[in-house]
Amino acid sequence: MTTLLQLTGFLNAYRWRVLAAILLGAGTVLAGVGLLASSGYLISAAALQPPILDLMVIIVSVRFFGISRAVLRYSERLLSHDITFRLLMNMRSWFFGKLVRQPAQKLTGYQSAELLSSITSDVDELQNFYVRVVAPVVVAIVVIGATTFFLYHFNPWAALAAFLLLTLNGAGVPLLTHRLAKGYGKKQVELRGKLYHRIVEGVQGIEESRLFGLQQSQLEERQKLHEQLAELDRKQSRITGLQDTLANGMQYAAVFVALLVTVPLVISGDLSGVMVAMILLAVMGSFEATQNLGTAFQYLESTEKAADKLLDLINPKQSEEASAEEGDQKLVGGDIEYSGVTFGYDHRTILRDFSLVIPEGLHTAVVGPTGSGKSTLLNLLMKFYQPTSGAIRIGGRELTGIPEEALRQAISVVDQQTYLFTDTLRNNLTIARPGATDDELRDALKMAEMEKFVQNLPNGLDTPIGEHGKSMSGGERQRLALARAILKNTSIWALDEPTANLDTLTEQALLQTIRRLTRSKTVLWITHRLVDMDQFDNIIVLKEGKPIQSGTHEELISQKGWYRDMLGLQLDYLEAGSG
Amino acid sequence: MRPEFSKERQAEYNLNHRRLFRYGLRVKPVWIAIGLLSLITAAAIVVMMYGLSTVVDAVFMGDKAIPDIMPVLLILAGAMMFRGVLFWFSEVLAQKAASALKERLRNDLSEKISKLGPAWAGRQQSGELAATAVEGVEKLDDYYARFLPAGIHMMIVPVIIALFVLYIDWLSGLILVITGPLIPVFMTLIGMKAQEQTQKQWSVLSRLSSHFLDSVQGLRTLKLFNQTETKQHEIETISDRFRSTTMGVLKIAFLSGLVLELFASIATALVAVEIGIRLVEGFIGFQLGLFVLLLAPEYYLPFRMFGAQHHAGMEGTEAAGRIFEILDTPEPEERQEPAISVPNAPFAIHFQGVSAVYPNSTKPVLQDCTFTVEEGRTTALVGRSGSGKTTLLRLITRELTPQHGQIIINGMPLDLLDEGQWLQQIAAVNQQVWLFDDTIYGNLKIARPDAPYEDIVAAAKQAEAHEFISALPQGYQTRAGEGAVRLSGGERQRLSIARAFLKDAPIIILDEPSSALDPESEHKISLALQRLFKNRTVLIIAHRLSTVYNADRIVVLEEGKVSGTGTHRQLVQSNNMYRQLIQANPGVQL
Repeated sequence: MTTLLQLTGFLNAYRWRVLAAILLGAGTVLAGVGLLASSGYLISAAALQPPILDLMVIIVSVRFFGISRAVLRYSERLLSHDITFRLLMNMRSWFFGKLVRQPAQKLTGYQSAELLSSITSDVDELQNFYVRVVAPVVVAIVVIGATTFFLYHFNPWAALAAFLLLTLNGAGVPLLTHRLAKGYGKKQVELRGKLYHRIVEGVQGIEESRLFGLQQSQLEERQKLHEQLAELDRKQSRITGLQDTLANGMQYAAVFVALLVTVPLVISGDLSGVMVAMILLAVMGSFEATQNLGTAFQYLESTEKAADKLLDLINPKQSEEASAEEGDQKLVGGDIEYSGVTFGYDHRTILRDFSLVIPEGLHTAVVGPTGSGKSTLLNLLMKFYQPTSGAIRIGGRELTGIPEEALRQAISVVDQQTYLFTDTLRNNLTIARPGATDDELRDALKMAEMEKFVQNLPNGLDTPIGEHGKSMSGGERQRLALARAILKNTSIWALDEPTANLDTLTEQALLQTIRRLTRSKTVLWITHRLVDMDQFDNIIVLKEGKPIQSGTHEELISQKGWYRDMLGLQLDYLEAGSG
Repeated sequence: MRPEFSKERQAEYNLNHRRLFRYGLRVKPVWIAIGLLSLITAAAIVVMMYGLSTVVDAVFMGDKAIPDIMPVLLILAGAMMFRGVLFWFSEVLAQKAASALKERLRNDLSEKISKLGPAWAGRQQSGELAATAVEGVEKLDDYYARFLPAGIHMMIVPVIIALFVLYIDWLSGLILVITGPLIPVFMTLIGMKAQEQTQKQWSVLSRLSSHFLDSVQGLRTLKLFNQTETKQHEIETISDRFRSTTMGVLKIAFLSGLVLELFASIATALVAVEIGIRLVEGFIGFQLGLFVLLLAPEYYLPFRMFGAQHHAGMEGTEAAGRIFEILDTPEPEERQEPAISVPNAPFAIHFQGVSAVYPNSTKPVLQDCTFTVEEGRTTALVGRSGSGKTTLLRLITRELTPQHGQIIINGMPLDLLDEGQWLQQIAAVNQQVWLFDDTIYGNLKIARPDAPYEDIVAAAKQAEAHEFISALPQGYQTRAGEGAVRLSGGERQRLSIARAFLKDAPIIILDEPSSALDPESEHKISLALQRLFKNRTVLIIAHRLSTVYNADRIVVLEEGKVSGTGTHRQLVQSNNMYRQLIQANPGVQL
């Protein structure tokens, strides 16, 4: 219920538009009622053969209702689409703002890509809230009120009967069918999810399936799921069919009841016979407003579910960030120090009592097997994660006292995979320095050795780089990340396996560029491949969250241990893949 | 992002639409039943409106009381109930058609995917395929269960009503007959424009939505550059800009709806006025007039219903594009001759002048390859990436058939052998190991479904996997696969080796990881592999020097051709490419 209130809150910003759209919507239905009712009155009155001039008013109103219905409908559609677009904009912006303030842990798990796309579609789902839920329900209420009011003038009983049947049709029928169909929706989601999984499995595990002779049984299993889905559809259709039957039956019943009520009134002389056709047709027409409320209930459920998911994700009691925003904004720099840092999530300890000093102006490498906690060091440094205990300091200042903005202003991060926005090259660069001039951008690209790349682009800096930069190779993406870092121009660089997805030649070239760019900077370099390690001032070997070895390359190769073993192994690898 | 609407796209759209329609004909009887139901519905409408107009006439003009009109009242009530029940039947029938068609399409897709095999599947995104088969097919539901039935209804009900009105009152009938067909004509005229516009509107919507997704996915990057507020502002401005342009488009797109409504309303009004005037003049009776007036909206209703389903039709057609694209992918040819049973192990695999090309490509991946993988020995394949190493393995597992030449197994051509039997002889250890959504135990058991528990544990021990499996929270009963316990690359490798031990196949094909795991895992894997290779015919895509040194025979591939075979010693002397490959390694001095 609070979810609904929150959703309704969004409508508040556009209350006049919403009001207008609802009036237009109700007007559309009522014009339809008017058209039918006035037509009925017209021919009834005409049957009494009055002079034709007496009918002029009613003839004009028949035409009026006919035309205004279409025009009202048209304006209502336009206005409600306009509202939907505005709502969507508002909701996206609001949700994005909330998401920014979420602790990063939640959004980094390995299913994050799926999670993110599911929340985007949840936000999209919310757009239905006005057009499919609020508008039809309010319009129905207005029309029910108007119809009841209209009928009350002729006979209170007819009014009551119409009111009850309209309400039953608008609320009772959907509630009943919703109840009947309740299990099906859930079952359907479940079956579809299962099928989705089976197909992914069938495709990704296709080699295993073939070699172990599982394909036939997998095929049969999927066929069984297809059959179950179809069977579920058929069962469900019996209920949706029931809804159609009841909804229309209710309309007929209302007409029939109106007939039974009016006939005695005409006989007793309390009602002029001229009115009968009009009343019946008005009742018939008014049901248009309640006919489609079933879908409103469905959408109410789905939007509520989507909203719940979203609100759950940005639940305020779980956000830990936004703490030290008022801290000192002055420039961040100096030695980086981890002291006794422990960190874990999901009941897994990743770092245990970890201490390390990264001296200013020197290059420190952290190496170790995957899953040893290397990347966590970086995420802690950038305040994406908060340590469970212990402290991190930069230039002696506790990280907790440094505002995020100042911190991120001071450190350049190059990740294993560079995220590129579906946008132009320019816009992908200027996020690092908003308002950068063309010259500044070109200089940065030149330093990142991407001049050639830009020269070959049809529109230079303003060339779109495709969906998530898919037109760029791995090496080019990493160079773009370097160009971003150059534009940011910081004294601290943190690199997390920047060459992990590259072949050896590209790797070598990129390493040279990075070394040239970071000559006098403070560098934290995370890697599991031991390449050019003699270039580092200090190397730490991390395993299962603890440093097991440290020293320079020379020192480490002279002692037994992980480092020397790993180096030996690496020498055993043919660089055939890239040669 | 969708490409802009163009002539080609329109043509493609029309084509998909026709195919979707034709596919629907597979359940012709159901469509015929729906047609018949429409006929009955039209009749029920006529009877109902006849009853209603007669009752009103009797009360209004004839001053009759309820008992006098009882028979007509009963007919009316009966017709109303009957029509209500018809709604149920049409819904159930329409869904019956749609479900049957969706089921068939899913089966077709499923079969197609397995027929196309790993060579094709490797190039697909499994999530996208699954979404096509699940959600994509589901989008056709509205096409088959709503759009087509509404179309059938529109072709039958108005015709019956118009004919009937013509018969009872030709002037009103004429109005219906003239205005009715104008609706589809106008709809198509405006519709062509509107469809284009609506299409644009949808592409705008999806673009907006992907822009938002892009922003959310790039959140980390935005935070690192302190650009979240700018992005939030951008989301607003872009949405607003799109809104105002889209609204301009919609003003036109919605015109078709306006015209439709105007036509239906004005025509109804026209009928009412025309009947009214004739009533005044006494040219027509009240009952007949009311009867016709009641029928008029029913005449236009099916057109409006069909108009309302227009979008369902469009969305279905859009979704169908990808579905048919998958179904149209050419399949590898199937062999006709009866298969021969596989000879007895051990096996020697002889490649005799083999060339290979992938489907949908003309560039040969392998050309005229001749060499032998000797029985009980280890053969290593070396070569740069793209030289055809993986393709050779695919030929052995028959994911691909040679374009020219033959693969000979103990003297028998491979393509004549029974495929199922042949695959039984092979165990593969790949770089990427797929774990099914099952327990570790279940994942091992697939290698030999009748294996007792002890054998599975024994295989895991042989593969150096027992130790880490036992350390998992539920041991062998721990769930693996997506969304379950995360195993490292080395651990997955060892599970794959355990499967190979269980399968106990005489042939092993191995695609070595191309970069080092951590030393401990590497050590255990090489121990396990040494055991596995004993007395088996082994073919390895080698990425490690030690593998190459230890191989009984090395095959060097260079741009799809075998440039040399022999031992390390021989090749160092004779093969340039081999020397280059080996020397590229910083640890090697020849």
